[in-house]
Amino acid sequence: MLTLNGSPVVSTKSGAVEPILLAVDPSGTTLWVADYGIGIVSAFAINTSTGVLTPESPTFTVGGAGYAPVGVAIAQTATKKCLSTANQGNDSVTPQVVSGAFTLTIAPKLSGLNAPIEVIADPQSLFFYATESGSANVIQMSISSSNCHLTTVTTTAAGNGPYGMALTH
Amino acid sequence: MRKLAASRSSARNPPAGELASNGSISNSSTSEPRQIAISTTNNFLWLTGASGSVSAYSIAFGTGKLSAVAGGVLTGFSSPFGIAVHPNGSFLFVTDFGSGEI
Repeated sequence: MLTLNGSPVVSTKSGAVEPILLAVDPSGTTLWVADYGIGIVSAFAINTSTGVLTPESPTFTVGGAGYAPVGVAIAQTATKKCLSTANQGNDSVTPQVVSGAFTLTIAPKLSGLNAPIEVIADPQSLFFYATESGSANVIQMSISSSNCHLTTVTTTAAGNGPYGMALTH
Repeated sequence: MRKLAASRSSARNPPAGELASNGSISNSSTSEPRQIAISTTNNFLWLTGASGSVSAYSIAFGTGKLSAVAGGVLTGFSSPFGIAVHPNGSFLFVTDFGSGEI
């Protein structure tokens, strides 16, 4: 049975206008939301008893207007927590270093992709994977545990305009 | 924006990772499926639909076949898109692309 609790519903209109994909921090205390319209990532505190969300500020850019991020994922490496967005409008993936509960510091983007849509982290947090809707590939990227920088490892053909992904655990 | 074309369960061959169709299920309450999330207990699947709803399905152990859950359709969204399960299994978070809400 699904029940919509009124109180957890929060509006992002003050900072974001088109919330799209989201990721729950492994700690369970933060929800990260990509905004397609204005190219940002927003953080929300999660009350782990009630599920109530509280918007945190500021929001964090993924690079600029027109980046159009869709997917967002988090990897907990040996030394850093890394968040990445798949930027459909900029043909890139933007990694960010997560500090504390609600702070992101942008790292150099990985460019040269073709309309990436979704990004996921492998359970060991060694790699991010991104679907390329423009060229029908899945891109494997290694994650630097020291600074969250990304490096392309493999490119694998994946059907026709791939969108979502899931991994076994 | 490309959308997922179908909600379809697949039998998984763990050694090879190969996928084989295991049938499909349709639900008029959730047209234009977008994103899915699976419960932390692996026995439920939730689906956002561009028509403005979130639907719940049970996952049969062993076969992976899906069945719609009675009372498991939540409506009233404008354009629900992303969906994520909290690690404690108690909460689902859904982005409403159309209304700018979560």
